[in-house]
Amino acid sequence: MSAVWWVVVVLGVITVVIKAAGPVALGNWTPSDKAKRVLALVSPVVLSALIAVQVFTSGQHFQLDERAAGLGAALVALLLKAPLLVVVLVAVAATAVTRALV
Amino acid sequence: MADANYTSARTIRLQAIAPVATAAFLFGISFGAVATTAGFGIESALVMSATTFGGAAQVGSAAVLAAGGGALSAILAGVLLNLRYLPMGVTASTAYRGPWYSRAAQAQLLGDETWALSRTPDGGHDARLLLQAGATVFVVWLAGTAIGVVAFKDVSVEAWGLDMVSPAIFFALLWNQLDSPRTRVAALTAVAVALVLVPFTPAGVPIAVASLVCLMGLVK
Repeated sequence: MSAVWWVVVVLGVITVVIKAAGPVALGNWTPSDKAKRVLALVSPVVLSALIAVQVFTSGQHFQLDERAAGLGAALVALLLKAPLLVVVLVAVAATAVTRALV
Repeated sequence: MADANYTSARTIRLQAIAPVATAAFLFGISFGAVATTAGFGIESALVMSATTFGGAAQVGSAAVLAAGGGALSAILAGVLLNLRYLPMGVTASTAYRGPWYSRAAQAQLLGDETWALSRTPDGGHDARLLLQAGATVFVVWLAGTAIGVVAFKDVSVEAWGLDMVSPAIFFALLWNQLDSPRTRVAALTAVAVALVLVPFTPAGVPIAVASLVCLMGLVK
């Protein structure tokens, strides 16, 4: 089996288990107020960490490059209350244009 | 009247799902294009999109392979990047009904965008939105992957700025969630934790550790 297929199969199986773990283990669980406060923070915390790593790093290094321009453009679009798809297209276009020019 | 209400609720869901699905389609195309550079064919790319079904982990592990890393480091990167589905599955768990195998199956449709989209202010999820958006994104994700592998084989993801598709989706979803000082502090803390860990830990670890910042919620 090639390296690609090893990755596809092993990563696929592990991911299926990770995704099923919470919902299977918890059954029809009703969270307490304290648990709700924690759960409410999971999304903003995970999303902001993902964005930071995707935009400001490359491998194990910090890297400030054209992606930051794309994120800045997305911020402007969000401040102007643009819908999600417009935000994405603006970020993509700003990154591509900056790369072409610099 | 009941009919009209039903239709409008469905229309609202469709309006919420459509932009996320379109963005996921673009993201799928960029994964397909990246996958070809890592030696994926159409079958392996599609199987990965259907099972791993997580853009960051798929792009991350393909990037490790493309950079000449071995299967083991690619798997490790992917697993670590998907570890966030553990706490995410816990919050989504409140929306799933039925016996364990049905819940396990529903949980496979979990994805960052649809999970964030269906979030309700109390930390729970709109069950119908979570599943319908999940199923829609699953289909367009596979379609995007196939088109990316076949039609965008020699296209540079970076030249077209397609590597910014997913951070921009995440940013737009995050933007609507920064609704309290506590949320904003937690988000900024998570950014700091993740960035501090990047030089010292393998891919995925910074995000997994940063997700623990949600424990700030234990303090009233």
